[in-house]
Amino acid sequence: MRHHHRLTPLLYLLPNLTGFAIFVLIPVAAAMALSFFRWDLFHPPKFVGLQNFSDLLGWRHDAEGALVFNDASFWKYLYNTLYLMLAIPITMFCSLVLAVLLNQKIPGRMFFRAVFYLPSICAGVGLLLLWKFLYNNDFGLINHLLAWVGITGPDWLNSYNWSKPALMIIMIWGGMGGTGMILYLAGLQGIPPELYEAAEMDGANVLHQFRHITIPMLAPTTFFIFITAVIGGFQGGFDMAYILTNGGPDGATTTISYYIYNHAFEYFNMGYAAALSLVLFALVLFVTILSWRFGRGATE
Amino acid sequence: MADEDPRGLSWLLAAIVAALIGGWFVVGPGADPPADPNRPLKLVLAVPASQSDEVHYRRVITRFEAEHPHIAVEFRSISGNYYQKLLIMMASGMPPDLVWMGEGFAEFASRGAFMDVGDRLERDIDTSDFLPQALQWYRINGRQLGAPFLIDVQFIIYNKKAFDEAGLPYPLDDWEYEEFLTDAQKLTVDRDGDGRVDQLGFYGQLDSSLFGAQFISNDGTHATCDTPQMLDYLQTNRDLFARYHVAPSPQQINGAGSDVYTIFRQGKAAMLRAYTWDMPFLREQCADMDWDITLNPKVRQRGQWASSAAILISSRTHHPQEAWELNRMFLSGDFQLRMCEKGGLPPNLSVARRMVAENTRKPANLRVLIKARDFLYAKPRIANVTELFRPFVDACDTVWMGTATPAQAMERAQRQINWLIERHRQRQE
Repeated sequence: MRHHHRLTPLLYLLPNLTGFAIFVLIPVAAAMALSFFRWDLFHPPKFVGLQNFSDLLGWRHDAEGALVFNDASFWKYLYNTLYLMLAIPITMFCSLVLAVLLNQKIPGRMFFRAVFYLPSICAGVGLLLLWKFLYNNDFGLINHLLAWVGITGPDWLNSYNWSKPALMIIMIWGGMGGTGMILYLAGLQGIPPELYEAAEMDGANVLHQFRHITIPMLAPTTFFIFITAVIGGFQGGFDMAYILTNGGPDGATTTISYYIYNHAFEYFNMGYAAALSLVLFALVLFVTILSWRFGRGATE
Repeated sequence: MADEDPRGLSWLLAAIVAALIGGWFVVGPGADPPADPNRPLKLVLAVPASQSDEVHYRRVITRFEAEHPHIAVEFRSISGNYYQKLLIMMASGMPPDLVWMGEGFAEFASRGAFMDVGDRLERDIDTSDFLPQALQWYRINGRQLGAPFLIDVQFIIYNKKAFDEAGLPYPLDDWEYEEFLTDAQKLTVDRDGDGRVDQLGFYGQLDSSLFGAQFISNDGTHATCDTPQMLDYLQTNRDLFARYHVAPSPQQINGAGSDVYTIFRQGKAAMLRAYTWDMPFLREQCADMDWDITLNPKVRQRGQWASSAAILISSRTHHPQEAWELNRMFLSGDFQLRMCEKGGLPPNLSVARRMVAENTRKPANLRVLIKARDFLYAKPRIANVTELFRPFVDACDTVWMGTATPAQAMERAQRQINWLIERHRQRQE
């Protein structure tokens, strides 16, 4: 009987665990294993040891004797990925401001909450195509509006200097009213009103209350949003590069995830793509642990 | 309960993984099902989805099945990223018997994806009338992997009204760069005098084949980016938008995508670089316009960018002869004509001539496609061409952006491509 009781919950978990094993655990393990192989998907994988990692992270002397990375593109695309992640704090700040505003008892706040959340539920490809139209140098709305006020807009998606900020604007626009705003709203509603009442009695103005009550009380929420955004940031940029820029100009908008896709499905270097994925995983893990170690203290 | 016994969860997960892996070894790739003599033989044909083309494929299949009652053909119309899905089908050990191939041919062919049909082609098909380059495009490492049923060609489409308004004669098929540039300058117009160009002379860029330039050698052993021809190609195209202001930058052109038809229809460009696959859109969207087509102007030499489409047989098919019987039907003149009539050049000269003779729609000058046969240039058919092409594209971007001279950009591309070639060579050893 006792044995039966022990098995029952495991059997309930069986369907979920089977799905987890098929779609997550085994593919992840296979990708890890694959990073030690060379595989073009046509011939059997060939074990190459650490060759993929050496090609990816190693360096060599070029014809002039200068020390250069074996895969300089990887470092460039890692820089691009980190650059685009600068949108994270801006997005978080905008989410917080929106949440604070939409937490006020203003008329139509439910409507505004829905409006700001809309980009999160709309099809990403459709939105990106709209942005492509907006950024168009010939007939895009953004440069058209800028021209009205006497500014000659840049060729957003075709300029090395402007393409990354252009993508960041999309990220901020799409992210500020999304999950971050919802989580901040939930966090704001969890702050006991007595704290504000007490502060008000002590003469604290709105800014003081925000600085000394709202922000500290929202610290766990901020920490959670930050960690998930950083993880997403490292893995992000693929759809924008794929749809808007094809990774250009001159690789300015290629991120690590797009580079992985290219190696796997365009260049047929599946083992190298797996090694890239593993390095990306290590990076995400490292940054998450760092954030956890240094960020947790601030939330407690 | 599970909290009391977390090891139970781990054991269950381990058991599931073991069962799945064990099951995969039993039924996974390599375990071909035994042939059932009572079941009809089945061929699988995979092509990218397109409703209008599907009718033509199905017509051939119906005829084939009538002639071969013991063979059933499964037609798989694949939507979305065709090559990626095909790659996954091949990697999973379930390749279709016959597959459509276009620009992705070299990547698949260089990895042994297709069967050599050289002997069968020689035996069963009269190729004397066939465009020789088109056969050459499908020959890799001495193996003839098939032949195309359609050739796509790049050409220039022009707005007759714009030429009339500028008082220019329509371009002839044998025009040269100087005439092209003069026309493009006269056709670039600021109608309302606001300082902004309302009509560009040319919406496109001149193909590298016109300069005799190619980013890599034909055998794929070394980069050829730093040749005078390539530098000329880059400088000439940069001059078109940065010096003469008669064309947009190549990046703007790429970014415009299918909006180029709108640009042409709205009279914002007098000449447009177009391809045979654009023909249905041009006929539909520019029906009320007076337009025609011509060849590229001669620069250092004549040249027309070309691509092609073919049905090829997987090297892993279990039914090579039956697959070939179906494949040869896709090389028939009738199929070529049907597939090319909305846009494309039949590889058979007699079929191409028939198509032109029977054409009653725009463009009136469709015969230039036959003239183009003499100087078609396709992408090099070498392994890893997509990966090797990337540094070249990136370096070209720096020229278009004006952040590097052609010489600086190509020196960089040359170095990067040669390094990639060397790395691939080392990996092969």
